[in-house]
Order: sequence, then C-alpha cells, then structure tokens
Amino acid sequence: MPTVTVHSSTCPRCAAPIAANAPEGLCTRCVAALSLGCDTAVDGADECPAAPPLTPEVLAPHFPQLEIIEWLGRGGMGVVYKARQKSLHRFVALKLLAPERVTDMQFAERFAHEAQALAALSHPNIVTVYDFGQAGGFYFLLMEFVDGVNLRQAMKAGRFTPEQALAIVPPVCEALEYAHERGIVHRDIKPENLLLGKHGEVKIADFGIAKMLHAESADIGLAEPLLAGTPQYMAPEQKEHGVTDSRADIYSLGVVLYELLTGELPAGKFQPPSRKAPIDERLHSVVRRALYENPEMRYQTAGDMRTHMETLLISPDRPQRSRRPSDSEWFGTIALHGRSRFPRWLTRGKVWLLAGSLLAVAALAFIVFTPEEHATPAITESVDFNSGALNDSFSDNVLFGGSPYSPAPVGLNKTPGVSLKDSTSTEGTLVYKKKSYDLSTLTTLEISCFFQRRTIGLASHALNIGLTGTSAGHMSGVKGAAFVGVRLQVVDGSLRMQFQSKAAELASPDFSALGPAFTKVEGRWYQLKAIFSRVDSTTIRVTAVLSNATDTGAVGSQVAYFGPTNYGVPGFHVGEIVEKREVWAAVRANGAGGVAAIDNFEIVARGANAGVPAAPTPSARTSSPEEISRYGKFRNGTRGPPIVRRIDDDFFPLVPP
Amino acid sequence: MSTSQTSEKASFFATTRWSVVLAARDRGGRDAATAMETLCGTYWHALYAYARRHGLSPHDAEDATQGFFGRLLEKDYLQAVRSERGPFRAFLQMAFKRYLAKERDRTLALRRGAGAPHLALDFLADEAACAQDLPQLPADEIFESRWAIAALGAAMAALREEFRAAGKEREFEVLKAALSASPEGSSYEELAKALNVSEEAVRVAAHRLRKRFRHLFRVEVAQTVASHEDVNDEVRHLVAVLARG
Repeated sequence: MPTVTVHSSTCPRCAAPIAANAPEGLCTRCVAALSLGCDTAVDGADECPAAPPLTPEVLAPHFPQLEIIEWLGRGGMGVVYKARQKSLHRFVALKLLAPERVTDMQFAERFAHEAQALAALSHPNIVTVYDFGQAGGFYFLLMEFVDGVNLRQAMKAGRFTPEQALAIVPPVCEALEYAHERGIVHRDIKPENLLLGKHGEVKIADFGIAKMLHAESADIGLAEPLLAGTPQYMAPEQKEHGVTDSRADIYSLGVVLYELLTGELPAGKFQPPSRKAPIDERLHSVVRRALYENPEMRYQTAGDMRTHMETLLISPDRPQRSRRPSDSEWFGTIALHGRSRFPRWLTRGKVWLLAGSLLAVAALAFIVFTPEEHATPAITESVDFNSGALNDSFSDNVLFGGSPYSPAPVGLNKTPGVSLKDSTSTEGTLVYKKKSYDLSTLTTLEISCFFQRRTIGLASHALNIGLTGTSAGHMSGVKGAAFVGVRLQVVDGSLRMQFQSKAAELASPDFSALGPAFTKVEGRWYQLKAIFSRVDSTTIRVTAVLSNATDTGAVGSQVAYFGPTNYGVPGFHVGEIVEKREVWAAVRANGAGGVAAIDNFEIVARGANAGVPAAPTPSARTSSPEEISRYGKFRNGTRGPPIVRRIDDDFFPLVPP
Repeated sequence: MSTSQTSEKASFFATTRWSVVLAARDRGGRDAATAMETLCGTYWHALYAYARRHGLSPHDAEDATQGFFGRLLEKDYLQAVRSERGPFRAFLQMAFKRYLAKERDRTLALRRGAGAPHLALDFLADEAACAQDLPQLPADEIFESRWAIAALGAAMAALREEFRAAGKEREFEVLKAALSASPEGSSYEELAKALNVSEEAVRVAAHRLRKRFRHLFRVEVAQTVASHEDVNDEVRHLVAVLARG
C-alpha cells in the first residue's frame, strides 16, 4: 500500500476540518447549509435543513468562557447548545444564529440593537438573554438554560385538554404583554418557541430574533427573500405585507391555542375548535377573537387575552365538565412508540424529562380543576332583604356611631333592600351569621353583593366584601378581628379595586396595590363579587369582578376584573382566615363612599362539605402545599402589583345577561 | 402545479436512473446496465468507506467493493431485487451488507475473477478520506455521509462542467468559494477583486450559482429514487446527513 498524504485544511467559515474527499475542496457542511439549505424555507422552519451543528470541540476555542456540553437542537433561526458558564457555575443556552439567515449588510447593527433590547427584558416567562456578540464567525446569544421540552415536543405526546391549554397560555400572554409594553414584538410565536420547564414553568424563547434576521434593506439578489416568522403561525398582515405589531403575536398565539386544542392548524375559515374536538365551548371565543383577520378585531393586548382566559379558569357560573387526563393519555405515545417518535437530541433521559414536564403541566391542570371535578353542587346562601329584617341574617357589628344600614324599599326590582346613610360618623360590618365556612374544605367561596352608586362623599372607600374571623368581627382598621376582603377604594372621584387583610392583634390592615380607576354612573346598579380560595396555610387566592347590573338584578358585562392573585406571607396576614375552621362572610358598605343602597347579598360555597363547619380534612386536598405553591401560582401577591383590568363591554360576560 | 414544476417532474422521470434500472431489470436491457454502472460509479465511495469501517483492510475493502459491483452488474442479480420503492441508497446499503456477510469467509480476491466487470475506481484517494473519518462513527453513518458527499460531488462536477462548456471555468474556480462562504464578511470583496467585477455583481453571480447548484443537486438525487414523490424526502435526508458532518 503506498503512503497516502492527507491534505487537511479547515473551513474559513466554520473552522471545522475539510475532508480530503470534499468536492472542490469546499466544506461540505457549509455547502449544505448555505447552498442546499432552506430550499423549502417557505414551508417553515421544520422543512428547512438549516445550518450544520458544529461539534462542541470545534466551538470550544471560540467560547473560552464556556464549557460547551452538547448540541440541543435547531430551529429555523439557529442552533442551540447547552453550555456551562465557567465563572458563574451555571448552565446556559448558547444560540448561534443560522448564518444562512444573515442576509444583509446591516445585520451586525440590527443584531446589536435588538440584542440589547432583549437583554433588558426581565420576566419570569421569558428566556433571559445574558450576553450576545460575535465569535467564530457566528452571531451568538447567551441565554438562560431551560431544563425541559418545548411545546411542540409536548404536543407530540398527545392533544392538550382545555385545562392544560388554560394553564399554559395565560403565562405566555403575561410575558407577551410585558414585552409589548416595552415595544418588543416576538414575531415568531409557535410551539417550538414555548418552553416548558421541568418545574412546570412556561417560558418564551427567541424573542425578537425574527426581527433581527429579517432583512429590511433592499435585497440585492443574494438569496430568496426570507420571511421573518413561520408562515403557519403568522398573522395575515405579517404574511402578506410583512407588517407586524403586537397584535401579530396575539394571532400567532391564537394559532398555537387552536393547535393545542385540536391538534391541527387553522386553515382558511377555520372551524371552531369544539367542532373539531369535544372541548369547552367557551374557548371558542378566545380562539375566534385571537384569530380575527383584521387586527383591529383581535384582542388589542395580550393582557386582554389573558384576562379572558383566566375568567374561564375561575368562572363559576357555567361549570364545565373537566377531567383529569389519564396517565395513558399523557404517556401513551411515549409508551407505545418509544424513542423513535422523538427528535435525535431527545435521549432516553430527556424523554423522562419530557414525561416529568407533562406531569407538571398535568399536575397544574389537576390542581386548578380537580376541585370542580369533585365538587358537590354549590351551596348558596342568599339574602335579598325582602323580609326587611337585617338582623335575621346579619350581625351588624357597629364599631362607632350608629349603624349606617336601614331596611328600605330601595332594592333591586323595586323590592326592599338596605339603604345607607351618607355619613362618615357611622360605621358597621354586616356579618352573615347563619353559617360559617372552612376554606380548607372548599374549592372556592364566592361572596357577592349588588350596590347602587351615588355621588361619592367624604369616605375613602365604598364597599368591602370578604371574610372575618368571628361572627362578631368586622372589616375595619382596629384590633380585634382578622379579616380578608376586596374593597372599592375611592381615589379622586373614581373607584379602584384593592385587596386587604388584617391579623386580629393588629390594627392596621395590609393593602395590595391599587388597580386602574374606573368611573361608573351614579344611580346605576352594579355587582361586586369576590372569590376566595385557600392555596396553602399562608396563602389565599383572590379574584374579584365588578359587573354591570340591571335594576331587576340581572348581571351584565364586566366593568373591572381583579386577579386571580395569591396573597400571603410575607406582606399579607391571611393565615388566620385560611387556617380557621370557621370564618364568616361579610360586607361593609359606606354611604359616604358613594353607595346609596345594597341588595341581594349572596354566598356560594363550592366543594365538598360546602358551608358546613367541619374539621379540616387535609386528605381532601389533592396536592401538598409545596406542589400548589410550585405549580398553582399564577401571580404571587408579593411579587408585584395585582392586575386589575378594565374590560370592554363587548367582552366575554361572566354571566349572560 | 406550475408548468415549470410539471416539466421538472417529467424530466426527473425521464432521467431517473434508478427507475430505469428497476423498470428494465426483468429484460436485462442495456439501458439498465448503463444506468446501474453510472450510479455505481458515483456512489461506490460509500461502499468502500463502509467496508473499511466494517473492519476490512484497505486491500480487502477494495476487493469487496469491486466484487460487489461485479455481482451487481451481472444480469441476474437485479432480477432478484424486489420492486419495493425506496431510494437506490437503501437498496445498495442493504445489498452490500448481505454481500459482505456472505463473502466474509471466502477469499475476496478470488471474487475479482476473470470476466467480472471491473470499474475504474480510485481507491487510493478514498483511503485518504477514510483516514480522516472520526473513529467513533458507526459504519452506517459513514456510509450515509459518504453517500451524501458523493451526491454533492456529482452535483458539483455537473456545475463545473456547465461552466466549462460555457468557457467560464475560471469564473467557476473563483466563484465556487461562495458556495460555502457566508454572504457577510470580506469574502465577496475578495471574489470581486479576483474576478475584476463589482461586489454586487459577485453577489448576483453567487446567488445564481447557488440556485443552479441546488437544482443540479436535486437532479442528481433524483437519479437515485424511483419516483418524483421521493425526491424531496431524499434531498432532505441527504442535506441532514451533510449537516451532521
């Protein structure tokens, strides 16, 4: 055998060695990536063969600060590696932008500009950008490493139930809203870019990268024009005119939601999801509104979409059939098809990880919905004041002055109600004394009351509904009674919702931040409803809705919405209410705060043993407090201000008029 | 479907060597033999590399490859090929594996007996490539990688030939670098200087070059599949293999 000389050289672009048999001495991987790749780009990233993954060894010299561990996967936008940041001992994701997508000379400038904007985003549901730059001929982004799977991989294990979709999409909305408020549009929302961490967290990846890679300057014929985004998920205006604003993301998220629910993509005049699959009909309205062709008709903000979906989450008035996804539904695909169904990078260990993530999502859905599943019919206590006798039902716990309340023919539907004195020298709390409640045995406890507006007087608040620690309790800022409540605070002539809580031994309540102001018409009737549920021994979940009401007592469209928000330690003394076996529903109205009359006080207890004082039954709860605190918190009261939103009149009514 | 797509489809059918081989195998026609020989001439690299990784010495691998093609080009062999659809690549790999298993205990050199067709194959050059292979790659991946590079090479040769026929071989020599170079950076500037044209002209030319190369690659891959419907799958597969490196 003669001696063979190997002429080896390295590729000037990717630095990998060029094989001796490489045609024309060109790096075959780069030829494939640049000249054969993206032949079918218009069919979407999945169809695009994309850039070659370089081995960690080849990349290592370019990233001395990192230990590059493994190649994780690729998207239309680039290749991602798992790496360890040596200085900080943390795992990071290293994204190399696909060079074949770099199509114009202004790229470097646009890249730096966009990356700076992305690095400024700090949100629990957005993958954080740590660093960016150029190395080894690549533009790279150094990002938070999310240990989990993307939504596409999760979807391969089966269709999502509405409950699971409802657990995933609202956090995405929240993150989009955060970014949109800062002028950053994602432009490429799709299942591949939504990551599910193994702790159940949902995070958006690749924010703004579509814009980075989108050549806005005149293409001089170097390559076919590239679409910034993925056609199947693009809003019509984005696809046809390349025009995007935040509402394009809302459309894309609508497509994702549709796909989650039906397993298909909407095509042309799409079928409402429930015609495709037996799902909760109420989700129609969400999908339909997100997918309007005209952006003006869509949700105008991601926050609107989130609020709408969260309304469905807690909406008690149309209980939905929900069920726990069976193990076989979740894991059947994995069990039946094994590894072959999963991408190359998804090793056996990662399949278990995927299973773990799905379990987390399933657990979340389970926690949120199981109580309804097992709920006995709700037990309702209703006081319409028609008897005219307040003290039949209430203890009127007057703290000073006299009682402001007096039975009068001023109620809804021209029946008796309770009128209020327009005075700040009288004060009292009406506590419903006929029944006590134990939150640990209930799914939710709703307390509602109708009230009629009048000119706001000298008082600082109008109406407060909630729970007190004893039937002799009150909802005032003096020692002697623990309580939680949602009140309408008076601020500059308008009302704003606010949560408050107080421990018995303290005088001063804890107040949440105020929501946006809303002004309502004097003389008109409204309903305030607060919904409480125990999260764990130190946390309570609170939702409240203010709705229009008719004079006959029908509830109309929503005026404002509050929560759902978890309140607890630190910051809020709620333990005495969530841990007590007996708490009482109460209302405190203030004539000088703009309430002329109240009527139709109602308590709806949902869950086993509704409304019956009973010993706490920890086994009745489906998950440990740790699990709930891990998966069940949409928003913690200590993390930021509560979300209070105005809701358009044409918005989804909580209760049909 | 547009007219251009239709004509492309028609041309694929007309020139798909593997479909010619399959269609003619019962008749043992000359067209089939020629088509088969052309295919083998392009893709034998993959077999040689596979045999080397399989544990054969360079000499034995050379013998095995030649011996296998000898068998393959005999008339009766193809008749045993079942008519299931599938790319030539899969057929060849499967057949070669069987061949190696059968021949393991026999003296391979004897198989290069008199009368067997003998292809002019440059094993020496291929041995150099084999020496570069990463030792941890399994034989099947080596085979696929070599196959994909062979397809790339065939398309590249066709491209060069087109330039040569147009009297622009020098232009190809310079421009070919653009096939593996990023559009950004200084590479285009250098190409423009070398060709004494503007940078923009180079960009346009590079764009056309890529487009043509892409087409020729598809045409080449089309030779190895039985029907038009399979072209996209095979192209995707090969590009993925190339991307793997």
